[in-house]
Amino acid sequence: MSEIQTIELAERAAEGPAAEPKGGRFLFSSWHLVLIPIAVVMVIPLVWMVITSLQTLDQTRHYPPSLVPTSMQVRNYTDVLQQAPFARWFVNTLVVTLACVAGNLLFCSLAGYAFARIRFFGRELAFILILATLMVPFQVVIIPTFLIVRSLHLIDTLGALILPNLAGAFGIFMLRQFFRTLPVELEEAARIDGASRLGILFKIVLPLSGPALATLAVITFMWTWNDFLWPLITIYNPNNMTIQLGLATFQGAHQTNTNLRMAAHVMSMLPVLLLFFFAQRYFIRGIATTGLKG
Amino acid sequence: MAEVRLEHVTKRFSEDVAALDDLTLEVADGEFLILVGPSGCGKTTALRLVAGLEKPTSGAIAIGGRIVNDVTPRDRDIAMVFQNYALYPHMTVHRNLAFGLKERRTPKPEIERRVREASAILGLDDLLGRRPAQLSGGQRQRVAMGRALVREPKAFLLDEPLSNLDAKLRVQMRAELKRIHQRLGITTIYVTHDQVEAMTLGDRIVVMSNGRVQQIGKPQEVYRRPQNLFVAGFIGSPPMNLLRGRCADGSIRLGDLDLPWSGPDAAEVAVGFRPEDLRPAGDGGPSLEFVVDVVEPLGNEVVVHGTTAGTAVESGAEEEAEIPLVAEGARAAITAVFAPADEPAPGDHMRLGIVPDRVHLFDLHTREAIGR
Ligand SMILES: Nc1ncnc2c1ncn2[C@@H]1O[C@H](COP(=O)(O)OP(=O)(O)OP(=O)(O)O)[C@@H](O)[C@H]1O
Ligand SMILES: [Mg+2]
Repeated sequence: MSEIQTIELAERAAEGPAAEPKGGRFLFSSWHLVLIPIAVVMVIPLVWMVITSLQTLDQTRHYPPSLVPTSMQVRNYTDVLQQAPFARWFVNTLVVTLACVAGNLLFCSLAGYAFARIRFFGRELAFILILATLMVPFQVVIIPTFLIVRSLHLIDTLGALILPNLAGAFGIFMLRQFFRTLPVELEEAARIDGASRLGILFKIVLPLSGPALATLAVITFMWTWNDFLWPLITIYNPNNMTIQLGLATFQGAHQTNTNLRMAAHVMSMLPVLLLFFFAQRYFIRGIATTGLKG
Repeated sequence: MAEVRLEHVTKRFSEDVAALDDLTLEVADGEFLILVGPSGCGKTTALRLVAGLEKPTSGAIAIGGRIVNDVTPRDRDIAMVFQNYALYPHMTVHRNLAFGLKERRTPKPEIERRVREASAILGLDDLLGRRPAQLSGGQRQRVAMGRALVREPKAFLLDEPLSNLDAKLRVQMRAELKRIHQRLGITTIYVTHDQVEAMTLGDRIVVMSNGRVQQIGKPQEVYRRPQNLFVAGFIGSPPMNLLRGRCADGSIRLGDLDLPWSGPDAAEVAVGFRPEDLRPAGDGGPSLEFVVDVVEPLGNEVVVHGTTAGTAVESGAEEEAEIPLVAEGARAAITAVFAPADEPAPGDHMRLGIVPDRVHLFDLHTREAIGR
């Protein structure tokens, strides 16, 4: 690709997403014969969950189960909120998630930029080592991470959930790849204009990396919000639980109240559903560009 | 404003090849200097060294009398216009112009004043609110110039700034660049491989090849007195005709042509004559027999391609190759430029007259010009 084209690409990225082509969006293709049934299969449990969350206890025990919403027992939701500190868990999760998103955006940008543009001794080796950690399953590092977090006296605090996840190999890798596609001349022009390294990163590179940053933010949000195993290991006090962990304890305590359990699930899923709904473009891009599954 | 000096500057990107080989140059205060040469000869590298984007392997670079080898680009106080402009895509034209001043903590009113001034000089007033993507090629070029102008730097470095424009816009911007330089008188180093830009824009031209200087001089001087075969073949369009000849006993012998010669004898020479110094021979002056192949009428002149008896010499400007030894008696392609009234037809046989004191001679072994 020529330099000019690259610069134009960067310009287009800075201009924001191209308008969706009009027309042709609802054209039928034979793929739909496959995709529509799969979509239905995927959606049924969701719909069922929402319906059940609005039913009375009796209705949930009815056989065969009714998939038609006959009652609207919104009380289930307020009941859930009263029977467990859901609001608290929600806030905890939000704090942890936002901190991790912010941390990943900042630290992965810094590291990714260094790996993309700054020549230093051992750069390639360090980068390969970081990449290699992507291949290490989480189960392998649980114990060492736990020991470190414990030595920092963070066990059973939100810090235990935030600190180890402030930066990740995935984000560093993704941003480095993206930064390398930006035209170097822009950065050189900025250097001559008098900008420092950090100035270049924050004033030139990051503003042109909107799509990559959005992708990283969305993916980090999903991972952190849905994380269960690490909170289960590090958090004991119900007041410090995240929503996924809280949900599990709530589920244990309310084995029989299916409607309440479903209401709790709906609430815990809502932010991620909304996020996916509004940002699916970035979510899909993340999977497509890195070949990793979310 | 300041003068720029390169002293014995060498730049190697790898062990075996030098992108710049012992380059020594002096750009006077306020001078417009052109760097010209074939692709890959190190022009961009030279600019980047002056800008501080690369470090020289050896040698010294001075701006305004101060050695700047260890000075960052920021503190060299030079401005560079990149071939692809490198405008910041996410900023408006106004912010593009102001960026360098803001980074240097220039007071707001001063920034505003300078941006207004530059945009008035370049006619950018209506574009200040736009983003680069919303500009035409010519407008982007102006903004790139403006970004350099507002800085009021010690020197301008321009890397083929017009090469992405169409022919008409290029002519227009060329005149504009000259006007700006005349008005501001800022020391300028300008890289191009366009003949016309090289001849018209600069106070002096530096012809480079393979990282080395071939000749430095005023455009007309370089054109009239190329110092070696390379420059002879590189400067001028269409290029100079170069044929293998011999000079002895007070004459130059080239095929059936005999030219009086008063200089020293040399066994093997390249005889060069510019296409416009050839004309249909009327009287009995020295002439070459010529067969016309192709005729290109350009309106104000006619470019005529044909062949003559003789052996062509390659200058090395076409490609950095050694001069090939072609068998004697072959026919050499040569080019002439005639006035429209003299337009011949393809296939014509004619004689070409040569003005003896417009002939250039080069020693085929040293490749240097032989003085008269
Ligand atoms: N960063 C680099 N790493 C390695 N080699 C380089 C680098 N930059 C330039 N070179 C080499 O140095 C030589 C000179 O390059 P340079 O870009 O200065 O040429 P140029 O005269 O500007 O050519 P053009 O007219 O094509 O722009 C070339 O052989 C090029 O391959
Ligand atoms: Mg170049």
